[in-house]
Amino acid sequence: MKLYLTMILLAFGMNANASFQGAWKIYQNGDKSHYPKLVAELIKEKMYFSAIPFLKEYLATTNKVNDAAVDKVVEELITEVGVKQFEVLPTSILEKSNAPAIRYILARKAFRQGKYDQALKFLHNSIADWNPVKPFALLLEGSIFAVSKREEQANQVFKECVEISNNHIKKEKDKDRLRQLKISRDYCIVGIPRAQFALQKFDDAYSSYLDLEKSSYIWPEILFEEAWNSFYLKDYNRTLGKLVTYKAPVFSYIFNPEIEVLKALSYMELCLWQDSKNTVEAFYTTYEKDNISFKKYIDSMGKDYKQYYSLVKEQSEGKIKNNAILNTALASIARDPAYLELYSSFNAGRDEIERMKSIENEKLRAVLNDNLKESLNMQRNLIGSYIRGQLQLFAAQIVRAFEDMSYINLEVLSKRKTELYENLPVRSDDLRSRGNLAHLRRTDKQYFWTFNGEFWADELGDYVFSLKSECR
Amino acid sequence: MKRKYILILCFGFIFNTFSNSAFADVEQRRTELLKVLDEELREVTRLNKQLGAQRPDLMLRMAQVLLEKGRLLKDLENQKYLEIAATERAKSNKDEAFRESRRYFDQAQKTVLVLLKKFPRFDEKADAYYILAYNAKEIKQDEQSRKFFQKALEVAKSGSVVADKSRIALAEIYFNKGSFDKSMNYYEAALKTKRDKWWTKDAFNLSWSYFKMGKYDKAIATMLESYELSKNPKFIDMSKSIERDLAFFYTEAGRSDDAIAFYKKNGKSVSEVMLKVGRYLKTQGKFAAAEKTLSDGIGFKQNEKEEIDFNLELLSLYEKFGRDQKHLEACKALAIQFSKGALNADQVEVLKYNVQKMSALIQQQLVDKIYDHQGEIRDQKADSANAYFMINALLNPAKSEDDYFHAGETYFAIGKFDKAVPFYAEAIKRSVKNSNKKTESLASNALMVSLGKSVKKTTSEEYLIPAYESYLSANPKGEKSSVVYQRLFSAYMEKKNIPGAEKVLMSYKSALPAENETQEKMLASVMDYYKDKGDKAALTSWVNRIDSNEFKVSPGYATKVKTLVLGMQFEKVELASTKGDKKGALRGYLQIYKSPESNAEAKKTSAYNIAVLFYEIGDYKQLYAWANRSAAMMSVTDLMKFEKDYIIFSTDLFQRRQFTESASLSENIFDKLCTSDSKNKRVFFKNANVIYLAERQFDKSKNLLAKATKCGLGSDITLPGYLDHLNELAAASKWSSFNDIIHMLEISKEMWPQLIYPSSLLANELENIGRGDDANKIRNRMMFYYDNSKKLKYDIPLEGLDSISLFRLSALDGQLKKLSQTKLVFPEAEYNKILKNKFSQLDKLTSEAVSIAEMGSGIGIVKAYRDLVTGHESLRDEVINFTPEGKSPEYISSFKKSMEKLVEPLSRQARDFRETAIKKIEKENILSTDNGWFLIKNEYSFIPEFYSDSGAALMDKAGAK
Repeated sequence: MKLYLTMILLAFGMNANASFQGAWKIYQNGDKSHYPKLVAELIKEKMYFSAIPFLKEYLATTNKVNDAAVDKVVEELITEVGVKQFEVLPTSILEKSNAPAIRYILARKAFRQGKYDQALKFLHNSIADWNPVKPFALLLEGSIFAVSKREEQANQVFKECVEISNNHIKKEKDKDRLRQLKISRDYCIVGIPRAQFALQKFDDAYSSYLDLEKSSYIWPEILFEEAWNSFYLKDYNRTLGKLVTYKAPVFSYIFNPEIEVLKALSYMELCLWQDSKNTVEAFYTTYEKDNISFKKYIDSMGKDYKQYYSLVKEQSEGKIKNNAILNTALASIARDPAYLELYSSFNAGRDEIERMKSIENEKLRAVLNDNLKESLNMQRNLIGSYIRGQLQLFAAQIVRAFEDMSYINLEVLSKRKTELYENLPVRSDDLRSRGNLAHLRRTDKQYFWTFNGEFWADELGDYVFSLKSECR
Repeated sequence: MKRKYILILCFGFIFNTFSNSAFADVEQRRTELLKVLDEELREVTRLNKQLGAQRPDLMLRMAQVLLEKGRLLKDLENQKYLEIAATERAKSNKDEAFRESRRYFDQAQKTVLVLLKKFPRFDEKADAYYILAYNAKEIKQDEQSRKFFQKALEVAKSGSVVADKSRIALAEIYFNKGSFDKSMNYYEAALKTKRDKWWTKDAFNLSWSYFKMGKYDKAIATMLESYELSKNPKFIDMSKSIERDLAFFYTEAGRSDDAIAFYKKNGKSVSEVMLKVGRYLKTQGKFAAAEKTLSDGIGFKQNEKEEIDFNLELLSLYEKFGRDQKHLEACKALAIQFSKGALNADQVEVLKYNVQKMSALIQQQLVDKIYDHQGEIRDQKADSANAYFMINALLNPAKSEDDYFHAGETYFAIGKFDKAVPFYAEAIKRSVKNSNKKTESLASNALMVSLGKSVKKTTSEEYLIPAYESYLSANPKGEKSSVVYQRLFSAYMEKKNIPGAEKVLMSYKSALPAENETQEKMLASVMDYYKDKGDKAALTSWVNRIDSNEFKVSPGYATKVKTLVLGMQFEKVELASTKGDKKGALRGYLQIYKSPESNAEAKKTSAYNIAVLFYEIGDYKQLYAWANRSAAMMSVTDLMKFEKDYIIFSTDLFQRRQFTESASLSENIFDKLCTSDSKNKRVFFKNANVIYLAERQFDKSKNLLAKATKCGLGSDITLPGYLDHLNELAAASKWSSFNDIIHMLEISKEMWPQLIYPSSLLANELENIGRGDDANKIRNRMMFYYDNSKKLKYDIPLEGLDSISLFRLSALDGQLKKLSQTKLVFPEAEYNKILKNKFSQLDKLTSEAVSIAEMGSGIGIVKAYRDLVTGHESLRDEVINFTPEGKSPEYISSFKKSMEKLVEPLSRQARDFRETAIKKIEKENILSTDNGWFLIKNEYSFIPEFYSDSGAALMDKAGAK
């Protein structure tokens, strides 16, 4: 209760100075310890990106943040600009603050470094349920448990994550943040089957994956995971059915070379050598040539993040490149939630340019202008860096896919040899019957749809092949 | 993606080959495979390019594919190469024919070598070495291949596929080399996990390795496991091979029951399997194993047909391993089947071959006398050969006479003529039946010869006479017939069919008149028969026929015939003798002796027998006469045969107190045996000499002694004879020739100790007759004998020692006398001088006495001590009893006291000598006339002496001498 009152008072006090003028005064004073107040003033004026350098400077110069009001400022700012702007700060600086958002950032950094226990420490009991970062923190915590194969805890946290996320979603009005919350919630939903998958509980995972709504933003990418899960369940017809979903035009933006790999692998497991080989060959035909130019292209850009930023921007504006891989990759990035988060923040930042014009104090405007420029450049570079990383990842995925495809082909050839060496009858691919319902296996959560080559939105992901295994 | 997993899967195929090259679409498959391999190669190349050629695993895969393609191409090339006509193929270039495959092998090799060089730390190097190994194997570099497999194994990860495959490859190499210990170890390690379908096949080899190492139980257990897995379609089916070999394993392990259980459980016929195994082992050259398997297998036969099969298979094996008895048993079993008509033509031929071969072989061994030193084996062999011949006779009845003949020949060869004979007889019978003249003739001859050997009576009785008679009727003349006549004659004689024998004799005489010697032998046999029978009439009849020159006999035999007649006379006399009719016997012998018809031999024999008879009836006079007479008639050799009898004769004469006759007979026999080496010669000599001396016939003794050396008697006999002669001369006081004999004897040093005593006798005699000087000379000579005998360490007879002692004691007596002769007198100075002199004399006497005592003569010892005691005591007494004259009583008293003291040692010494003498007498059992001086103490102070009549014997209380 006492803490609540203090916070009210603080808010009242800050509101009393909430103006560019107040900000200027604080700035003029030159005492960086008061920068949080300055930031609070700018937040009031929705000058978030302009405020970022002040907060970073404060964090860099202060010894320890022991002020809840300051934490509130930090929380408010990060909520608006995203975590990326602060993630780039060294841990030593971030550790000065106990603000939940900073704790979350620290946890993310530790998680990336594989320091799971440390990450959990940063998160433990430090973020209140109402805190905007809470849903994301729970996703991170659940992921840590899942990665550490602590399934029960992971399930518990993911379930909590879903619940808290839904609470936040109900209250949230901002559409970008609403999308982020929904995506985060959905990742928490699939966190459960992912943890089960990691523990090879494929049957459980299979059912849990079905808890994700098809309308989810992340469903298309998760469908691929489901396909793998079916594969491990040796339900190759279902794997192929899920993979064929990606042929639907609505998923044309999906870039995942491994889809083809899994398809070839499924055919191979069904001993449908020719289908498997066809998939391999088709993949090579599709990607072999383009991959070379794609790789050359991205290599030529080096670390020019601006160019990367422009690539996606231009692509979303309808500019098509003469490289199918690049086009798909860029389309995929353009729909990537992480990219969208960065990009929406960046756009919000650009709104501040307009607001900047209303500042009468030229000196203040100049200072804020520099700040905004610095922040937006940083944001653009973050976007460019992310795009570059994704493109490099795609390039690596293609190479890996080539490798896998070749090995599949070699495996198919080996199996073919086995048959020849073991005097098994020579196959005639023409004679085999393709598809039979008797070869399917279903759970109570599934229902069977015949696939006639057309895609219906409500059928996506539920296609099942009925190919007979030709293994002998 | 599990790249490694896929790679391993691919890897496994490389070295598999078409498991059944016979399938119809092999060409199609090969083409298809080549296509797949090309695709694979392309894919690997594409992938390698995609990944920047930095992946050793891909290079390895490439090498594997290249090697695999090389192998396939090689198969194809080989097929084409073999399709070329042989003549053309010989001209063709083989390298060219295999050029393509070689190219791929080389490429594979290069790829691996580049891989190993470029990626020395490649964690799958084992796979690379494995390829090199297989490549080397393909181009027949076996040792290189083995090394690479070894290397692959060394660098392979524990439990990896390549490690196990390398082990398997090494195991196969060692298995094929016959190094089963190594193959066993490699297989064991490789087969711990059932990794692939080849497990059953490799386990099969492991099982054989165990088997070869004598680990039968493991071998069987592994086979069984492989057998069970063979039922699983995921494994190579080795069941046929296992069923075939397991029977053999069980057999070798002595687990026949388990074998039966196994085959029954699996619905197989044990016997059938073992028959198959046996045949298979034979084809593999494992004859010992085949024999064991078949021998055991026959025990499980289900019908006669199988028994036939087993036995036929076993024949050659039994022959190979020299199991003659088993071979024969098998032949016998087959012969039984033959009799039942159960053998087909081929089987009969096999049996015939075996029977004929074995019978011939054994017969040859017997003829070569290989087993002559192993009688039992030789006999068994002969029986076996016979059994084979009988089987062959069964198999070839039209020529069975030959088999019977050979059977006879076999027994003949080992000297079993009794066994040979019936076979020859049967051979003759069968020859007649089968009109086989040749065998008939051979068998007939062989039968004759066999019967001529030492066959049993029953055999002879059954076969001999008829055979001979039949032969002779067909062959009355000729050399062989001569032998047959003789045998037939012997046969009759043995059967005591004398008329038959006489008939043969006459036939022989008629057929072979010139064979006088044989006729004479036959005559002798017949006459011996009559002689034995005592059929004088028949004998006389034959003598007359000889005398009438009906038979021409040798002069020697003619004499013998006469002797034979004479002998018949003796026989009568001897009969009388044995019946106790001694007079009758004597009469008979006298008749023979006196008969003008009697020859010297008969007379001699008669004379001897007469002597014996007289000895037996105790007529010593006649004995003496006939003994001398018969001895005179005998040759030295004859006499030596009967010399013991003559000793008895002479002894008998002596015992009957016919001393002269006894000595005379002994001397006569001695004279006759003089130059012979008779051992009893010395007996005759001694007996004669002793008796002559006893009879005081010194001249005869002297004559006899003179002959002794000439007749070869040694000094060990002659010298004692002379000594006896000498002693008897002394006893008879015949001294005339005494010294001469001593002189003659002293030439021999060994006689010196013996001559001391006789010399003393002679010296005493000379002294008695007053020839003291001569006596002294003799005594000096006697001392010479004594001294030198001592030096030469000869044993001196006791009487000799006594003689010397007595001689020296006589001198000692003189000293003793001298000691007492000088009397003590006063004055004091004179007294002292005399006394001193006396002590000095006593010392001298003591020394001499001790010296005499030490000689060893009992008489000498006791007398010497008596003189010692007497000397000491007499001096003591003389000193004590001496009283100086003209002296005061005080002086005298003082003088006596001092003198008593002075002679005390003399008393003590005398007492000691006395005690020593007594001890010696008792301890050394000395019997001397002086003993009484020491031992007897009586009131009369004299010593009693005992005398007996001459010739009487002194006896102790018990009556013994």
